[in-house]
Amino acid sequence: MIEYERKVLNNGLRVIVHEDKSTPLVAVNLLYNVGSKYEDPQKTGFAHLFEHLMFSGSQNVPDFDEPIQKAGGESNAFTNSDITNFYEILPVENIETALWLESDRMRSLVCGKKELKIQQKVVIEEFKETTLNLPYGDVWHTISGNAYKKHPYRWPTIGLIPEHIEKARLEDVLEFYNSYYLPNNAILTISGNIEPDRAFELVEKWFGRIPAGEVKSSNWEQEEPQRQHIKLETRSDVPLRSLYLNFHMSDRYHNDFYVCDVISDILSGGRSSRFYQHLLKDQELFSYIDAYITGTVEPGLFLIEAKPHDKIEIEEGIQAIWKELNALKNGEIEEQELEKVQNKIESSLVFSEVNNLNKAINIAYFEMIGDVSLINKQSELYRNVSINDIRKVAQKIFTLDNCTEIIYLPKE
Amino acid sequence: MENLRKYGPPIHTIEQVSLPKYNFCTLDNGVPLYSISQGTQEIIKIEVVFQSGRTYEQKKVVSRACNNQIKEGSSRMSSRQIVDHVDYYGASIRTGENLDSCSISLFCLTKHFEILLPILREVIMEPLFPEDELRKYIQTNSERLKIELVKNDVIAYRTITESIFTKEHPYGYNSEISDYGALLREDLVQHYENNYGANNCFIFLSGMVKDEHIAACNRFFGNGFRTANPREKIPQLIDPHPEKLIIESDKDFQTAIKLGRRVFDRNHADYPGLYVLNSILGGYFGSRLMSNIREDKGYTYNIYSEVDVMKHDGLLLIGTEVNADFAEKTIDEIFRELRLLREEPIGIEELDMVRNYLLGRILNFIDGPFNSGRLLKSIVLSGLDENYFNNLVHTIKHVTTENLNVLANRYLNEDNMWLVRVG
Repeated sequence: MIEYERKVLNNGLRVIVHEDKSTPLVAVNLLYNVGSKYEDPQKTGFAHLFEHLMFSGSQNVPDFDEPIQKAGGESNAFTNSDITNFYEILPVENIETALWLESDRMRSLVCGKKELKIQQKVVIEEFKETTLNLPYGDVWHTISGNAYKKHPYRWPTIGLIPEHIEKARLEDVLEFYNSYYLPNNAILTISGNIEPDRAFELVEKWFGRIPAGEVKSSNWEQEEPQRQHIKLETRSDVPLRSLYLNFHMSDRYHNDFYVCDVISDILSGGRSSRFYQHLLKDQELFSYIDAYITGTVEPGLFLIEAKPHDKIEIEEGIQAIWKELNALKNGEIEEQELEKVQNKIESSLVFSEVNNLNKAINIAYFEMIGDVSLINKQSELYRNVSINDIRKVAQKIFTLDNCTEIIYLPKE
Repeated sequence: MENLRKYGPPIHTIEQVSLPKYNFCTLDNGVPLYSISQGTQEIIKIEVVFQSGRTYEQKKVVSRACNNQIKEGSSRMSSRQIVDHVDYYGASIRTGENLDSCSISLFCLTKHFEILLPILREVIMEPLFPEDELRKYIQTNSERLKIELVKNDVIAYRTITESIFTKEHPYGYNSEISDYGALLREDLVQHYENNYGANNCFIFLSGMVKDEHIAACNRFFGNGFRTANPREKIPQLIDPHPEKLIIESDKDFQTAIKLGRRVFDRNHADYPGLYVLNSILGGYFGSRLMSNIREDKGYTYNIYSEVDVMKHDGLLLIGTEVNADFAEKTIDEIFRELRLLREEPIGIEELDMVRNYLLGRILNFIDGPFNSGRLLKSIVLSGLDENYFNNLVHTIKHVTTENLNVLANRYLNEDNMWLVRVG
């Protein structure tokens, strides 16, 4: 149970504070409701490039990192298809340094040509390091590009191609900043050794006078249901064959989200899971197999990823996976197995609450999807998933027509 | 308010940093148990550690394989039964290995601790090492290694560590697919019998630890555990002359660059000072390498330096991945930064920033029960005492520019650095 207090400033900034007296530190988390799905299809990767630019300085802060390091803290950020999230973790005595820095870059970012040019280079190197340089590194491009035809989830957050990042101009930076980096498009959460009233007072002091603005409205096309099995083989510079099956699933708001998450755990959550026990250990088909969900706000994907052993035919591996999926569609699940998965989820939720930064990020996330109180209902929502729910959802999503099958083969 | 916004709020220096209170006792059979009770969640971790790393090996990669396979079946339970039972309680058993030691941990809610402890006992005290499980382990590891071996960064890391310590040294050799292939069940059994026993064991408890948990540890680990016969081969000190190695790659990837050298073992008096110096060089986001090569030149996404100290030796390593066109320039800039640290005093403002930053990082080390437990474990296993921690904090607060300059001249000379470039 995470206790919190919530307040909305006059400029629309939502603030949520969780007090944890057991730590000398505090985590300050600022979530902006903008991710790569808000991008121009011709200029993908921009939200993430912009995240880098947020560290280049603001009106009163020539160097963002120096004050935070002086205050004994660390700062970082991440971007995904839905959100851009910034955070600081530092000794609680210095919380105002974090609020100063975050508020200053919310009210008056300064970014010149030089900063833009350098971060374009840095991000292109990041693109290479995390995507182009690694075996299977471009798989996310292949999966999203094939599973989504209309929705902006069709390009990954890092961007479709490095050239899109090279194209960014200073005008784009300014426009993006004015369209999304507004108090009324942000959620500030604080988790650590501070009383909520004191935290609200300090937040009011630093953020209260930043004017609200008009958030650019976005209307992206919804994906139509997939009606045909997609099969794709690609040869590239990979050492082993690799197989990906993905299925369209619900959005984050629907109860099916919890059912799908439970299914992914039945299939591959830990060493007692079905995939691990049946396919890896008993049948010895794969050296690696995993099932997971993308967890996006809008309709996401259920993914299965596997690397068959050298002597195994790919088709044999695929059939074995379908056999496991069919068992779920037939409702072949023991009460005790479901209970095990629910116990695991419950304890991982408890374990995740050890860390204040985790708590701050999670609180902000649930507020963003519409209801912060959901954070304390997660365990129950997972508990409520029944064998019948699993059977029904499995029948709905695990069909050939809803499946995209991608195979990576080594070059001959 | 305008002035406050212009210059920023006053920054408070961290005055007090001390190791959290911990409890020490010995179980009935002499096994030392350290515990830290901290945090707000009803969770607990027990980690059982054996000094059974590479210096205790009779055969390559056996230390890692033996510890990994310990959870794959015991005299009364199969691998499957063990994991079914543990998973049912939402708990997990994890094995972990480094160059010097190996450990088996159990994470669970406190209410399940006493139910699960007998299973952990059986896993650790009565492993079977089934032949068939080992065969699967070898196959899976060989295929994983194949994937790793196409990465320039991995090739560079393997090349430089092997060059610094040599192939014959337990810290220097790289695991090869053939090493896994050569493993036999008897090798694992022998490694287990030599090294796993009450006389070579440490237990660490962290989380919301109560007396009843410690008593339960004594019930399950304080008796009936065999005596081990660990024989350590103290590695020979070999110090080959550093070279510059260039490995061509036909792949159109970024170039991986590593620079490194031997330093010293973890008990060396220069460690706390080098910890600070390394931070300035490349140990945090605001470090000189990051500021120059990423934030000013944009040559790379990441560049770091680290000091890795083990029981018998240690190394300093600088690493990055860059576009091939920038590789030479990057290497020049790294050498320039090393020279600046040797030749020019570090400014007071920069040094003060690093002091504060590192004190904050140390607060993070002791935030939450598992972080504190990890710190306590590393101190105990290094044979250090509380003074070590206090000494580190003291050095961070008081080390001088002159001290750091002496260390830079001792450890950051170009002539003593290996250089590996892959790509």
